[in-house]
Amino acid sequence: MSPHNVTNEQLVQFALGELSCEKAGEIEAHIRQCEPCRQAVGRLRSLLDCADSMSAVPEDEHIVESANRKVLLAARTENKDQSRYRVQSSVAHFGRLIMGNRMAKLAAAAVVALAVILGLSLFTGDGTGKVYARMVDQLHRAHTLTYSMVTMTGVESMPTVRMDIAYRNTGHFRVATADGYITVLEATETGAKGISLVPPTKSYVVFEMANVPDDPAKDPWATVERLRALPARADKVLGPKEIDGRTLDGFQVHEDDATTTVWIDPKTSQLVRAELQFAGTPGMDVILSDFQFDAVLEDSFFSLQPPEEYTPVQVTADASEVGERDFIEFLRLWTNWTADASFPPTIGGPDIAKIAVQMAREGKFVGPYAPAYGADRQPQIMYRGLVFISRLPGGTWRYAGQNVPFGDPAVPIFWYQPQGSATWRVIYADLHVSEAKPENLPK
Amino acid sequence: MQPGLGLEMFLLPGSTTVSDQSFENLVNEHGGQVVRTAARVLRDASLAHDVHQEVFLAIWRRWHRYDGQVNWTAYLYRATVRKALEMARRRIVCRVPAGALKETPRGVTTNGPDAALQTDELQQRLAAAVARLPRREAEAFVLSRLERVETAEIARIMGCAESTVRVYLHRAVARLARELHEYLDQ
Repeated sequence: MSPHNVTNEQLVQFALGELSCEKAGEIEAHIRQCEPCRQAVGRLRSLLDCADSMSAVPEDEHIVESANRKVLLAARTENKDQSRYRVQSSVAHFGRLIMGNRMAKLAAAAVVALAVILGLSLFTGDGTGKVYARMVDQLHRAHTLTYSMVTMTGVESMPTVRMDIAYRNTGHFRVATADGYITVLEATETGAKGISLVPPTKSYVVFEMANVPDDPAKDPWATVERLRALPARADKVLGPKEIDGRTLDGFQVHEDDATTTVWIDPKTSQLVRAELQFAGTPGMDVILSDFQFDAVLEDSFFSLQPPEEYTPVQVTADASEVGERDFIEFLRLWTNWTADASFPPTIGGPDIAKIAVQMAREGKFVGPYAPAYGADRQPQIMYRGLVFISRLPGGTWRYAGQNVPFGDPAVPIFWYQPQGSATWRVIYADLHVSEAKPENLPK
Repeated sequence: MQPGLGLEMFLLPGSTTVSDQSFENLVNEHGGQVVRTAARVLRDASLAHDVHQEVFLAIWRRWHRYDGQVNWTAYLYRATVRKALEMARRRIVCRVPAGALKETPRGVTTNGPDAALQTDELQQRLAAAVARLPRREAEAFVLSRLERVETAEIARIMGCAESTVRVYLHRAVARLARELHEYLDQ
């Protein structure tokens, strides 16, 4: 293009305005007499002008808004594959909350709840198998069982939670943290009643759950027995290791997303320590230790009486007036809370708490609380809704809201027979209610 | 009996976390930037919208790996330009039959009755030619000439020296001028 002392590169630099004044002057002088170079610069300038005109794009806030909204929705629905991240960041979330904002008290309670729930995951799974069958009787001869459960959070800023757990085969359960959060449960004929103490606010919550199914596999004794029997099904045997001055044999089993390691004293065959790691929550390990059988535990240890200076949390004060409206509010809240506006997968029994946690891990909720509800109202509404259910006698209600989204006035999701009533009340997916005779109930 | 607890279960925060919130903030804060950058490269609002979705979803899928030290403006420039160029290349392959560009009438003037139409045509050709450039040259050209980003910042975004950015840019301009030769003659 320029077969003389001006290079093509220099013409580009000239058109881009990158040259020094002196050099630019030289080029300018050159192109005045050189037609090919003048044309080349003309083309370069047209090119750059065209690029300039392309840099102006119309602002379309509408497209941006819609794109933002869509991508956030897509991100939420993708959460199924993100459970690892989810739980990790939930843990970090607790950590941040605890580090001292006004939610600290609430968060401290939440940490306890989280730890207990992780502990609860021990109580799932079936307790069948020969070892279990042989040993469980023997174990049941023990009258009490105590152990400590330490939950590592895997987050630097968040404290490790240690809980002391006690069972007595009179149907008592107690879990206590070092800083005084205590929950005591007492088995009743059909379920359990209990009390939770919240030290920072010197308050307590009394609760009662009816119709709790008796599931032997979830018996705490069975859980400990499963741990004791683990060596028989271990897929990895760890060499002897000294822990707290005792030489112990280790056995490890990988199941689903959990790795369980138990340490057994070879002399006494006693379970000394169990370590649980969950693939979904890296860094969050649970360690069970200090197992004791038949320690003497006084009645007062399982007392359902609150300490004198404690006051009841308001939520229980009018629990007796809980009615259908509260249950509908609970359902409405839930559909506001879920990303797909669906009703809860189940409503019966304490399982719902666990299911809620699982759903949270899978990212099925739109936020920590349903929009427009918040930390103050949501627990109350949930509590009252569940109290309503727990008070309905078995066989007088049916729930069919699993996987049903809010909205269709023709889809029944729940029906029950109020006490003393000849007809049933049917709640539909748009949360309107109608009466139905027993023979007209949904199938 | 199961040790199901009472009320405190529901004090457990649900699914959305601080990190989710910050992802939402990121999208809301930078969504416009991503759409506009993609629109400059692609000259098509609905394709720009698609780039936005792909860029942010890719970030979301790796969200747990980001450590809070990310310069999101720079990161999003790079990701968006790459994704948009990739889409522009695909579009050339998929939609424009080979030779189609050469068969259309040539010549661009800036003051004829069809000036706007011709400017638009030249823009289309330039956009297509940019997509055919070697990747790094295309990125440098887009960031410098369409996004009007300073060379020092482009160097940071592309992870190379400023002098390298200039080399890419010069090559890109020279190559584009050569390729669009007949449409640029006044």
